[in-house]
Amino acid sequence: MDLAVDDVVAVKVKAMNGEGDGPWSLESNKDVKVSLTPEAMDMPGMISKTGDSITITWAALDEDKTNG
Amino acid sequence: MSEGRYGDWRTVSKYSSRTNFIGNCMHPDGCNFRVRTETECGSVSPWSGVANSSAQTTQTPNNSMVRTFSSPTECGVIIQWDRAPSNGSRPQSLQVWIQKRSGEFSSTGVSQYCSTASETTQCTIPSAVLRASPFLLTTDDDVVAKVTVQYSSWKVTYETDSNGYDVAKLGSKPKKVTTISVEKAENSSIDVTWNPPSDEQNLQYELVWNNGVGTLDEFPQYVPLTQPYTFALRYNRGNLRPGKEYVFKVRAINSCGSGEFSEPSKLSINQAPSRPDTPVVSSILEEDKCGVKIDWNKISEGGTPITNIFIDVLKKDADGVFQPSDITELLNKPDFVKNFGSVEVGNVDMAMCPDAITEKSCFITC
Repeated sequence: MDLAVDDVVAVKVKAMNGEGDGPWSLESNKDVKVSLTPEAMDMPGMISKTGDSITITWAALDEDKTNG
Repeated sequence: MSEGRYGDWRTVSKYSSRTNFIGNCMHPDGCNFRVRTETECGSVSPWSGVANSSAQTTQTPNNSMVRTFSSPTECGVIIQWDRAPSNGSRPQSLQVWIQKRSGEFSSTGVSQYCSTASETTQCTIPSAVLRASPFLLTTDDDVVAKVTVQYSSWKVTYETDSNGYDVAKLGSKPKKVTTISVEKAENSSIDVTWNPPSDEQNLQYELVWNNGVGTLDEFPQYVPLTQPYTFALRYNRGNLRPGKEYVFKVRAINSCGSGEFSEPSKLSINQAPSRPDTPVVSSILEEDKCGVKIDWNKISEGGTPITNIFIDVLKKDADGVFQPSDITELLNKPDFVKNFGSVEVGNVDMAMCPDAITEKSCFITC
């Protein structure tokens, strides 16, 4: 199947049995874009630790890793 | 002129030495003559043979004077005869006789159905009367009748000729219909055809069916399909439900009653699968899965198992128009075979196509 991220697709369905092909269904909804979940982010880093308080930081996901 | 049609004899010439007689014969069948000799001392010779005045000119009629045929409206035999002529002498009364199985004629009980009025020309005798004493006729026996017309001074008897077409057979209920066939016809209807049970004409038929309830092996309950009865030998039934077993049987009906039902004949109507409901496409929001999920409602299989499902994927082009992209056949997918081999299918674990397909959804992957 030649699908790519960001493709917008719709589908039709039909069935066949020993008597022949049935008719195609109507086309589905047309508001669906093919996508991937974003890639994993880099490991967050700890900036400081004071008493019972910690401070964590992380880097924003690069654009090419958001998968749209 | 056959033996047994002589009326009362009367003397037209006596004690004459003449050897001829001149007179008028007004009888429609001519007049019969016989002679004998009596000597002066009183001894009398036997009667001569019988001569008929019109024997030389009488032509064999195409139809008998008396005819019998099956009644189309009731279980009986119609006796019909030509109206007694009144050439010179008016007919006074008549009497109908039926030949018994033993060969003799009897009029016992016939007057209940056949008037003795001389102007009548037809009557109907129920088959039950002919089957009873004293006639004791049975099915397919010839019904031979004779009519005796009483004139003022003679009787004339007309009898059914045994010519094969003026003699009815004693009827009965129709025989069993032995040939019935069912075939699939246009628009998923069923054509039911059958043959008459015998050479009988004007039979009506009653066709019954199970209306798709139960099967032949489950002692189906039959309900009438032809109401009223039909004279046709074919019936087309539409508006049938796929996958149901339809069982038909037929019997013939005549004025004597209903024949035995035929053996049942069955046929199931199968169709191509119905149009699926509009499918629903949704995004896959699972890690490392690229594609869409397609869901559709269970498709009515049309009476025979679904063997393949096609998914036509349309992709939106740069102009915003959805163009055909690819058609995926789900045939031979392991889970498809597994799940569509039976209509009793439950959901299975979703997985990426082509590895797994459920009854109602699958994934199209990137």
